[in-house]
Amino acid sequence: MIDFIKNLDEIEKVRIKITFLLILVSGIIVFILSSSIYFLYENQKYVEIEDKLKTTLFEILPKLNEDISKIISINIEKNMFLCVYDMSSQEKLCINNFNEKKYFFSKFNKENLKVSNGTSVNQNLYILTYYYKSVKDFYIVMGQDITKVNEDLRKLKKSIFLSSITVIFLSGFLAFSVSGRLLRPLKQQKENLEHTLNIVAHDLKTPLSVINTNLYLMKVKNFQNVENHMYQIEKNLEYIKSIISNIDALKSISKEDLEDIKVSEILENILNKFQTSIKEKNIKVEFNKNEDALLKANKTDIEVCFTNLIDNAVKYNIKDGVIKIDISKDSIVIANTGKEIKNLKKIFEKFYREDKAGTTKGLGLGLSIVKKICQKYSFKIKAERKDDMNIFTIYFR
Amino acid sequence: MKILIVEDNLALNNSLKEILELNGYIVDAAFDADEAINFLENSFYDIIIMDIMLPDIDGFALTKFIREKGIKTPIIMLTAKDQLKDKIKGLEIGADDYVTKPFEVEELLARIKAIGRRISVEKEDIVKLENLEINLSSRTVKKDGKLVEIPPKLFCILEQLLRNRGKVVTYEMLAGKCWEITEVPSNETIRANMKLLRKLIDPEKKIIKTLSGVGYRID
Repeated sequence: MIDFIKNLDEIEKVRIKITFLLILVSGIIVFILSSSIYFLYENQKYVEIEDKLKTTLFEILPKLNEDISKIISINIEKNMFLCVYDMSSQEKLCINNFNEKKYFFSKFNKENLKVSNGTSVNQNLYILTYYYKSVKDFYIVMGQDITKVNEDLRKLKKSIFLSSITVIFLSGFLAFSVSGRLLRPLKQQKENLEHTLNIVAHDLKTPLSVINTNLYLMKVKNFQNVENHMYQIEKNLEYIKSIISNIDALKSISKEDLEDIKVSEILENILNKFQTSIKEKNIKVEFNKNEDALLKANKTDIEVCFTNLIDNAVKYNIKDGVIKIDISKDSIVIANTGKEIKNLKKIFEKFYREDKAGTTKGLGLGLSIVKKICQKYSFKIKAERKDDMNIFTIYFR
Repeated sequence: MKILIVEDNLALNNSLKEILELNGYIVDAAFDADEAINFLENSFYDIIIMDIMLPDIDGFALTKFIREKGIKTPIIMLTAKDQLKDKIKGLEIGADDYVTKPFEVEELLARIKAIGRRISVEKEDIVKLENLEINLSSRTVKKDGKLVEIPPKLFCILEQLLRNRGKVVTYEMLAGKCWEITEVPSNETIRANMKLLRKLIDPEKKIIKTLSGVGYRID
C-alpha cells in the first residue's frame, strides 16, 4: 500500500488527498445532521408521552381531595400505568392498561418509599413522578410503555447509519471522479511538458553527438585540416539553436519584444537557409509577392513559425516537387506537393505525427508551435488539400 | 575488424566512420535499413553499430530481422532513446550493447574493443608469437621488441587470423572483413597483401600457415 502511494505522481496524490478530505468533511456533516435528526425525533416522542401523562395527572389531582377510589373511573391510555400513594394512610392504588384495564389496592411502607419529582426512562418505561401536597399528601407515579417508540428509534438509527454510509461513499466517489476531471488539464499539461522535455532532450542528442565526434577528430588531427569538422560543428550548433528558438516561441509574448516585420524579408532569409535541402530534392520554389504584409510581432516567433512551415514543405515534399508561396497584405499561403496529409484536423496537435512508426526525426512539435504562435498574435491558420497540394494559409487579420 | 555503421544522420555517420578508420577498423556505412540489409547480405562484419531511429524501418525491427536471418554479428545500439524500456527492448530483441547519445567517443571505442574480445578466440589483448608481440587493443606489432609499422588492412588480416586462431580463415572471409563493400579483392590481391604482411612480420613463414587455394591459419 505504501509502495503504491509512493509510486503515484503528485497529481494523483492531490486527487487522493481531495477525496479523503471531502469524505472526512461529508462524514462530519452527515454525522452532525443525522444525530440532530435522531435526537429531535427522540425528544419529540418523549414530549408527546410526557404530555399524555401530564394530562392524565391533571385529571387525577382534583379527584384526590375527594376520594382516592374515584380515580379508578378515569380513563387511562393503552400501555399506561399509574400508582397513587396516600402518604397518611400508607395505602396505594395502582391502575394499569397494558392488556386490559386493571386496578388493585395495597399497603406500603412510607419509610421504604423513595420520593422524587420529574421524569425518567427505565428500560421500556417512561416514568413521571409527582409529590402532591394538599389536605393530605400524595405521591403519584405514572408510566407509559415505550417499547414501540424504542423500536422506532432503533429503526431510525439503522436507516440513518445506512444512509450516512451511502452518502459518504457517494461523496467519496463524486470527489474522486470530479477531482479527476478537474485535475485532468493539469495532468495533461504536466504530461505534455514531460513529453516536450523528452523530445527536446532526444533531439539535442544527435547534434551533440555530431559535435562530440567532430571535436574528437579535430583533437586527433591536432587541429590541422579541420574545416569540414568546423563546418559540421557550426551546422549542428545552428540546429541546436533552432530547437531552442522553438521552445522560446512557446513562451508568452511581452510588449517590449514587438517590432515591425516585413514578411517577405523574413521568408527570403528562411528560404536561403533551406537552399541546400531544396537543391538536394530539386524542389522548385514559386514566390509571389503581391503586396508585402507588415506585422508587429516578435521576430523570433515569426521566424520560428515560417521556418517550421517551410521545413515541413521541404521535408515532406516529393523529389522535383514544388513549393508555392503567396504573400498578400493580410495573408500568406505556403503550399507544397508533399504526400496527402491523412488527418488535417489533427496535424496541429502536439506530438501528432502522420507517420506513426516514429521514425521521422524532428521535434514533432513543429505545427503545434506554429498554431501556438498564430494564437498568440490572433492569426488564423488553415490547412487544406487542394490540387494535389498541402496548403497552409495564415490570415494575419 | 570490420564494422558496419547504420546511422541516417550524414554528419554523424561520416565522423563515426572517420573515427573508427583512424582506430584501425575497416568500416562500411549504411544510411538506412535497406542499405544495411544489402551490405549484410554481401559482406561479413564483426560488429554492427546501429541507430534506432532510421527513415525506413526502425533499428529494433532491423535487429529482429537480422537475428531472424541467422546473422549473429554483435550489434551495438547507438541511440538517443535513453529510457530503460528501450534499452531492455533492444537487448531482448538481440542487441549486444546499448550506447546512448550523446556518447563519449572513448567509451564507444572501449565497448567495441570489449565486444571484439568477446567474439575472439584469442581472449588476450597482447598476443606473443615467436619473436612477435601483437597488441590487439592498441593495434601495434613489435618484432624483437621493436615497433613495426603495419597498414590497417594488413593488421586487419593479422587480427582476423589471431581472432580465429587455430581455425582456417578463408579468402572469402578476409575479403569480407578487411575490404570495404565497394572493393572486391581477387584472391590474387589477398595473396599480395599476405606477401606484404609476411615480409613485415613473418618472412620465414613460421607463423602464418598457407592452406593452398583455401586460406590461412595461425596455430
